[in-house]
Amino acid sequence: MKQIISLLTKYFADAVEFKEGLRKDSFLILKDPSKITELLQFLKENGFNMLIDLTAVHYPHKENKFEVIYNMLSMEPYLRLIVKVPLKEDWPEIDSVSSIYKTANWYEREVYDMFGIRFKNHPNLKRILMWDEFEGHPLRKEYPLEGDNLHCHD
Amino acid sequence: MGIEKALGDTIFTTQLSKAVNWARKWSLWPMPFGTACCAIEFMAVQASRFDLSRFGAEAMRFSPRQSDLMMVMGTITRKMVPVLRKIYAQMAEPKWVMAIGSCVCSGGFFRSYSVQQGIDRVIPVDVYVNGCPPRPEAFIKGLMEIQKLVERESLLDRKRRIEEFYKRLEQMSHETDYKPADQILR
Ligand code: SF4
Repeated sequence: MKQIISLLTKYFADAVEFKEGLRKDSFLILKDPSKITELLQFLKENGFNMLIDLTAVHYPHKENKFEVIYNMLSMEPYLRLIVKVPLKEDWPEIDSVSSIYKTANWYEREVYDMFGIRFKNHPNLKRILMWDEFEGHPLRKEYPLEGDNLHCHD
Repeated sequence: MGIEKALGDTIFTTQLSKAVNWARKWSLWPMPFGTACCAIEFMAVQASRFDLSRFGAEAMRFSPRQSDLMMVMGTITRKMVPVLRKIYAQMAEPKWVMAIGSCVCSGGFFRSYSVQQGIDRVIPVDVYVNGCPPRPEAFIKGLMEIQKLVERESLLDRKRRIEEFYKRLEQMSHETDYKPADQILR
C-alpha cells in the first residue's frame, strides 16, 4: 500500500489526499473530478484489477453536494482502496470509467437513475432500476420519502 | 308457505340470489398472489393443521381466469403494480380481494419510493388482514369475513361499491400534492 500511495502522490500531487479509515482501510479523496479516468487507469495498471462497487452519496447541506465512491480491489497483492470524488454542483457531471472497467457500465446507470449524476461518454446512460417514464431520482434527499404512489405507470 | 306445508321438510323456499350467494360462499376459489414472506405463512394455512379446506376454499388456482378470490400476500413493489392490475382485470366477475399482511395493506415498514403504500390505491380491497406476517388464525378470520360479505351483498350492490371506489381513486389522483423532485428543485 505504501508503494501505491507514494506512486500516486508522485503522479497526482495535490489532486489526491489520503485518509485512514476506521478499520485500517484507506480512502483516497480526489479533489479534481476531471482526473478520474486518468486515476482509475493508473490504478488498473498498478494492480487494482477489480472495481467492486461504484456508488454515490447525497449531502444536501455540505459544500460538496455529492460524493461518487469507487471501491477498488487489488488481488495481487491483496489491497483495497476506496476512491471518493466530491462534486459541487446540484446536477453534477463526471467522466464515465466504463471504458476502463466494463462493470462500471451498469453501476453508472444505477447512480444516474438514483442520483441524477450524469456520466460523460457513457455508452448507454439511461435508467436501470426504475422504469423509463419515472420522474425524479429517488435517492436524492429532496425526493419525497414515499414518492408518488397514486399514479400507476401502465 | 304453502308448498312447505304440503310437502313437509323435503322442500325449502328462498330467494334465488340468496341461494346463489350461499353456494358461492362455500366454494371460493382463491388465487394466491404471493410475492413475499406472507405467502410462506399461507402455506401453513393450507396445510393440515389450520386446513383452509374446512371453508371450501382449498382449490388454489394459479390461473386468474379460474378463480374468484384474489389473496394478495407480500410486498407489492411499484414495478409489480401493473402486473397486479392486469391479473385483477383477468379474473372473472364476481371477484373479491383480500389484502393480507401489513405490506399489502399499507406498505408496512417499507416506507419507500419503491413499494406501493397499500394496494387499495390501485384495486378495490374487500378485507384487510393485518400482521407481519398474520397468524394463520387471522387468515382464516379474513376468509370468514369474505364469506360473510359474499353472503350479504347482492351483486348489484357490489358493482355499485366498486364503481364508487374507482370514482374516489380518480378524485384522489387529482387532489394529490405530489411533485416530482426535479420540479421542486428547478
Ligand atoms: S407484511 Fe411482513 S411478513 Fe408479510 S410480506 Fe410484508 S414483511 Fe413479509
